[in-house]
Amino acid sequence: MANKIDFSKLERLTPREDSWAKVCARLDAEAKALPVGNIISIKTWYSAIPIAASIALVCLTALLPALNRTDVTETISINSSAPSEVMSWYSSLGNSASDDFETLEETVGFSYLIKE
Amino acid sequence: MHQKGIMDEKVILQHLMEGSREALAIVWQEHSANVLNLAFRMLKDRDQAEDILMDVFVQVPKAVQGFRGQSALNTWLYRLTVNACLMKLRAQKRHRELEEEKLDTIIEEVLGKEETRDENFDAELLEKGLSQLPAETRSMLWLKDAEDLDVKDLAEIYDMPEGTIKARLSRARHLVRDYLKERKDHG
Repeated sequence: MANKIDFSKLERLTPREDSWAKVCARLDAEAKALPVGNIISIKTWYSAIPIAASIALVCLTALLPALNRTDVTETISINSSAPSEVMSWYSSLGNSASDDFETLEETVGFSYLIKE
Repeated sequence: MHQKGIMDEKVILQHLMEGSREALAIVWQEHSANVLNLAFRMLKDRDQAEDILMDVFVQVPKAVQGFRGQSALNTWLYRLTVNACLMKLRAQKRHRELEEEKLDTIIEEVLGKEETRDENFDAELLEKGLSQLPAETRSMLWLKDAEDLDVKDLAEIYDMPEGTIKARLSRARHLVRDYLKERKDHG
């Protein structure tokens, strides 16, 4: 190409003899300095996240039916533990025409709580 | 031969990605001088150019993980080199050469004058002429005219449209030739 600048007269450098050895030494030093925690790269984490999520999902799927089983859960009915005053108050809640608060007798409620 | 070169490069790249030191040594043998000369053209300092050469090759094993092989290996290495040099120049605040606007003004004055081809300049004068250019443009001119890279490669290295590269090269050549002519006329 006639338009080119002629660079042929300029000095062309070659790397110094020890440059490659220095590069190797720096690479070795970097490899040694690399902490164990950093060995797992970000890319590895990217792939680990969906795997962990999948495992968690499988575990939850297996555990949820077990948690919902009623035969192993001890169910205590309020009917068997609460006194008749409490039950009466509870069943009449919202049925009164009065605007007053429907409060449970303090002593009854208190004794129920102590019993519990 | 060219096909073989591409094949070899793919194999070397594969080994580089696996962290092979031997593959890096092959790349060093093939490209270290080119990287060094490009850095030297940009920084105008032998020691700093050597530093850049080593920096580039130290970062190759990591950087190659993100290299998709869409460009040639030497193009990619040149891009790493140009970026490293620009970072160094910025860090040292030594980038006090002609800025683009100033260059444009000079070019405007130069354009229109008859372009004469002058091959009888000496190397020292050419060095001075090149030093009138910003480091990036100087490296661009070096890669095009000394290393024979095509405009497409330069567009990839400098991340610029091909038209911009051509315009910059043309302006740079004008500037260097004019400088040489002027010095010769006065000397």
